[in-house]
Amino acid sequence: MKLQNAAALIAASSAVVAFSSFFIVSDHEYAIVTQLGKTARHIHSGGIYFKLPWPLQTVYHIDKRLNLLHSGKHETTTRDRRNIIAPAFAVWRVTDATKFFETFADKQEASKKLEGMLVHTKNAALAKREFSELVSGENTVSVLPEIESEVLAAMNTDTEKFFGITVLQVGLLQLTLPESGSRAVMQRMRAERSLKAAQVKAESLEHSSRIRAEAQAQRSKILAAAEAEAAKILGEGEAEATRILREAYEKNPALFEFVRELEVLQNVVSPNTMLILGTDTPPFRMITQDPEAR
Amino acid sequence: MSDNSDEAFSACLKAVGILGLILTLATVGYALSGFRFVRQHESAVVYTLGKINPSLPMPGVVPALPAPFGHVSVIPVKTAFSLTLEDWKNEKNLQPPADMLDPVLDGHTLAGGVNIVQGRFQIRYRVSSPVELEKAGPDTEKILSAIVYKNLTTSAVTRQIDELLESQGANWLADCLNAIRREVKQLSLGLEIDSLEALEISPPAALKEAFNAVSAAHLEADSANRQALSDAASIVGAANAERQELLIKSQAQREQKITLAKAWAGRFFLLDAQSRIQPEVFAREYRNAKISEILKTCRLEAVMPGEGQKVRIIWKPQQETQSE
Repeated sequence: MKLQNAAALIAASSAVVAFSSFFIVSDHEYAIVTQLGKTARHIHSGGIYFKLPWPLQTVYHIDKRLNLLHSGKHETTTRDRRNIIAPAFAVWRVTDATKFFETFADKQEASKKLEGMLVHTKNAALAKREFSELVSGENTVSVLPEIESEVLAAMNTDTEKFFGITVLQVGLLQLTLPESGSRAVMQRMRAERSLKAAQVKAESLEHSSRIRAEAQAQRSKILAAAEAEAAKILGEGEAEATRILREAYEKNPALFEFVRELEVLQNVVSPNTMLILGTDTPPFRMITQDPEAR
Repeated sequence: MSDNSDEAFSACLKAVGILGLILTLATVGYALSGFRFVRQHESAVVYTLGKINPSLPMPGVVPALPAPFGHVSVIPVKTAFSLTLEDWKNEKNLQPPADMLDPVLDGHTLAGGVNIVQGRFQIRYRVSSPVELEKAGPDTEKILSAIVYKNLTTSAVTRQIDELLESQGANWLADCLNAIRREVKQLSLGLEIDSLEALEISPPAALKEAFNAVSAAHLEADSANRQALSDAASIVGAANAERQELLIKSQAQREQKITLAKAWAGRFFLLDAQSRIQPEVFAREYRNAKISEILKTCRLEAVMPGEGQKVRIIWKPQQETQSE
């Protein structure tokens, strides 16, 4: 019975040892196998692996997925000594499990270290720029991507070399001013708005006046053109009438003049007319002269 | 004795049988514990001994090894997620609004020309690659949020506040959306960004009155502009009508002139034909007839000699003469 118990114990222990000698590494993690505290090997891809049982060999899993880090809202200064607050973030992942394992106990420690680096490199990059460069307005290209690239490059120089970490992306989450700065900006913004309201009103007045003046000018132009056109039409009528009368004249010039003069005389003399004229002037000569005498 | 031992043996067999059954059920239960039910709008990433199966299973029951040998991550792929971003909104909400902002509590950022802007945004996205999402890790949504803020900040500093406030930042957000999509792809987050919307974009609360004054001025200007355009349209319209009238009048005058000339010429040709029969008689009679017509309205007062050989004639109106 004792022998049987011993056999069962050995079998169970062997099963436990055998079971603890296999370990599974997921595709989203690395594994470091240490042998008596020293790194024995590192595993980069997912699968089932064998190791010597504990305490001879131990496995450490290191997550290779993306991590996010925030720098916090700290004041810093630009080259022209303007205080600003520009919280940043970094997206990072472990790319060299051995270096990472040798440097950090866990991800929290790495995050703390990276946060310090992010704050330092970001502040250094901001200190190279004038405040006006950061908030240029005017639809120019922003310098922020340039700053972010600088920070990214500066961080990766050390993190890849010493920590086995690659920073994939760095960015500024916002750009703000300390309380005192925001007060001054808000006062200026309020003044600008008042000015702008007045400006909009003045421009509107000017614009409306211009529209009306342009309309008046257009009216004058239309009427001038219409008058010219009307004069042309009348001229054409005049020319046509003259042509018709010329035809009549050419047929019998003497009779034409005779008839015209009489008609002019008839037209000129009205009930309100009092004329004192020489009878030798046409058409009044008609009164004193016989047609034969002409 | 033998009866007792038989009974003990059968009891033992029974106990072993029950134990076997329990063990079998436990084993089957454990073996099936890895299985997952995947619904129509979901997809699943299956880990087998740590490796991700490259092919995604169809909806239904997805077989997988039990933990720790395998597991299944069920991911909704057709669900449209929305993430509300409220880091740039006024947290304090003081009454009356403060004339300065706390950089930590009062979320805001700077726009071009050093202007303060606040806002709340919403980004909508779907899972486009469950495997990429699984590999990106649990911080994906936070990373997406950071990318959105990064692009909003970068783009805001190049734009004046009026542009940001205009149409709820339509141009601003459109530019950001493109950049966000690009960066999400670069980081292989496994997400497809559908839209980025502004729930609110505004100046700080203390400045709203000043901004409203500008908006009111713009509205007033629009109204004045519309009035001016309407006035201008009536001025030009009236001018066109006047032009039309003038042209019609001149056309009529032209026609009248020609008609009169034609009529006169017609009458003249008739006279000419008459005059050719007895020219002298015709001339005398015609003249006399005309003169008598004239004398019906005016009276020949005097025909007297003038200076030299000339004779002067005086016509006086009939009425005047009568009144005399």
